Amino acid sequence: MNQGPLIFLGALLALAASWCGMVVVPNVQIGRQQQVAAGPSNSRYPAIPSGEAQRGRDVYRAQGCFYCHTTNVRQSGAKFDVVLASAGTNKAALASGLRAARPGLTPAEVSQIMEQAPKPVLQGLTRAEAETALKHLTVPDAKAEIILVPTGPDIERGWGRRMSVAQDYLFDQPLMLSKQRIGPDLTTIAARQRDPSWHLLHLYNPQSKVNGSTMPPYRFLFEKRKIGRHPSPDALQLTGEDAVEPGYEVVPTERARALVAYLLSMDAQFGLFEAPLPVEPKRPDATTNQPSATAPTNAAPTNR
Amino acid sequence: MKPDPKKSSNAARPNGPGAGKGSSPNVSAKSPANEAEPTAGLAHTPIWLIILFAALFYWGQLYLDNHAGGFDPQVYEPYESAKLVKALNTGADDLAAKGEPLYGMVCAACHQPNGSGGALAPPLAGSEWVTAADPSRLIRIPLHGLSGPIQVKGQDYTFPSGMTAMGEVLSDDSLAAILSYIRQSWGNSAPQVTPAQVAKVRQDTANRPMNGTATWTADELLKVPLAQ
Repeated sequence: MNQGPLIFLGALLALAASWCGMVVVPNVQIGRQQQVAAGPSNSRYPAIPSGEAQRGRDVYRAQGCFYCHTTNVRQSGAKFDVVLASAGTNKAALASGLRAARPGLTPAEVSQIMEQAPKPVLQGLTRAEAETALKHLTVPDAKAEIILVPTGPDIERGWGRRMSVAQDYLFDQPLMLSKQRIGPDLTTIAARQRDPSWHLLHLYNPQSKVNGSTMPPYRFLFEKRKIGRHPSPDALQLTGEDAVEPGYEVVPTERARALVAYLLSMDAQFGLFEAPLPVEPKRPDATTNQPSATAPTNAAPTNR
Repeated sequence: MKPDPKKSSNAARPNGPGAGKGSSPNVSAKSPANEAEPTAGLAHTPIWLIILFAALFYWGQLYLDNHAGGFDPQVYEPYESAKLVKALNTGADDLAAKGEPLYGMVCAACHQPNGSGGALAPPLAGSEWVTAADPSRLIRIPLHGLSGPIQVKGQDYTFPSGMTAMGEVLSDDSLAAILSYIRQSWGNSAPQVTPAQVAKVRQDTANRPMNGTATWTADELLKVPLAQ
C-alpha cells in the first residue's frame, strides 16, 4: 500500500467524473425544465395535474398498477413520407416530376395524385431518399412536403405516436416508469379512452370491457350499497353477470374516482420539439375558421 | 520443529515459522528487524496494452460523436443531431398557425372569430392598421392598449372600453403569433410579425407602463415613424 495516495486520487477522480456526468450535467441540462406550449391549442404542457389526479397517482402507486403497466413509449426510428400538398396549375411539369420521383406511375395514377392533393406520393423513405424525391417535386406553384412518421413497436401497438421524453414526466413525482408490460402502456391512455365510465366499469370488471384481459378486478375500490331515496347518479351501469340485485347499486369510492382522474390525465400525445410529430399539410382552401385541430395532433389513436 | 531440509528455506522468509526464535545462529542473523519491507518493483506497461487502450478510446470517441447527439438535452435516441431535430420541426416556424388558437382565446370575443369586429372592436379583416408593411404601430396596440376614436377602412369608430393592454400577460412569442395570424387571415396577406420585432417595440417603449394606464390614442400611434 505504498501507492495509497495515488489509488485514493484515482478512485476519487473516477467517482467524481461519473458523478459529474450522471448527476451534475443532466441537472444543468434538464433540471430546470418548464412547461412548454404544445398541442393544437398551444396550451402549457404537461398540464399541472388536478388535485384529484394527484390523489389518483397515490392510488395508482398503492395498488401497484406499475407492476404491470409502463408509462414509457419507445420509438426506434423515423420514416419519411413525401406528400403532395397542393398540385397548383403547372400540371405538365408536376406530372413529369411525379414520374421522376416515383418511376412506374401510370398516367392515371399521376392524375389521381394531383387531383386528390394533399396526397402521399411516396411512403416509408429515409430522410435522404425523401429529400431526393422532394427535389423532383419542386415545381413552381405546386407544394410538396416531407412528413415525419415515427416508427417503433410501441407506436405500432397504438400506445402513442411518439417516444416519451423527459418533458412528459415533469410533474410525475414519484416517477413510475416501470419495466414490465403485463398490461398495455398507459402513457396515452386518456387519448385512447376518454370515457370515465368506461374506466370505472373496467376497474370493476376488466374482462367485461377487454376480452381476455388478465387484469384483476378492483372491486374493493367500489361500494355496493342499498339504494336510498334516489339512486346515485354515479352508480355503475352494470349488466349481465355483474348486475346486482334490485334495490342495490355499486358506486365508485373516492379512490376509484381519483384513480380514473389520474388515468385521464395521462395524455402525452402531442408533438414536442424534441419528439416532433408531423403536421398534416393544410389544404390551401381551408385557411380560415378551421381550427388547426385539423392537424392530426389531436386525433385519438384506436381504443385499446 | 520441522525437519532439517525445510529449515533453510524457512529462514529465508522473514516471517516464516521459526524465524526470530533464535533456534539457530544463521537464522537470527537474518532477523526481520534487519530486513527492508518488501516493495513492488516497477515494470514497463507493455506497448500493446497502451495501443489497445488508445484504440478503444478512439473508438469510444467515434461512437459518442455518432450517437451522443452532441450531448444536447433536446436530442433523444432515434434522432442523431440537434440539426436534424430542428429540421423535423417543420411546422414550428409557422407563426400564423400558432396564433390561430390564441386569437380564439384572447381576441375573438371582441374582434369576432372572422375578424369582422362588432360593437366592441373595429374590424381586423382588411384593416390598414393590421396589414401595414411595418408592424411597429400594430404591435403597440396590444402591448399597451388603445382608447379613443380610431379610423379603420375610412370609417370612424369610438368604442366605450377601448382595447385592453395585453403586454403583461402575453409573451413576445404569443403576441407575434397572434399578430401574424391576423395579418395572414381573412384575405389579409401581410408578412408575419416575428418575436424579435415585438421584443424591439417592447424595448423602444420600455418606460410606458403596460397595465392599461398608458393606452395609446390613434393620433399618438400615427406619429410613430414607420420604416419604409
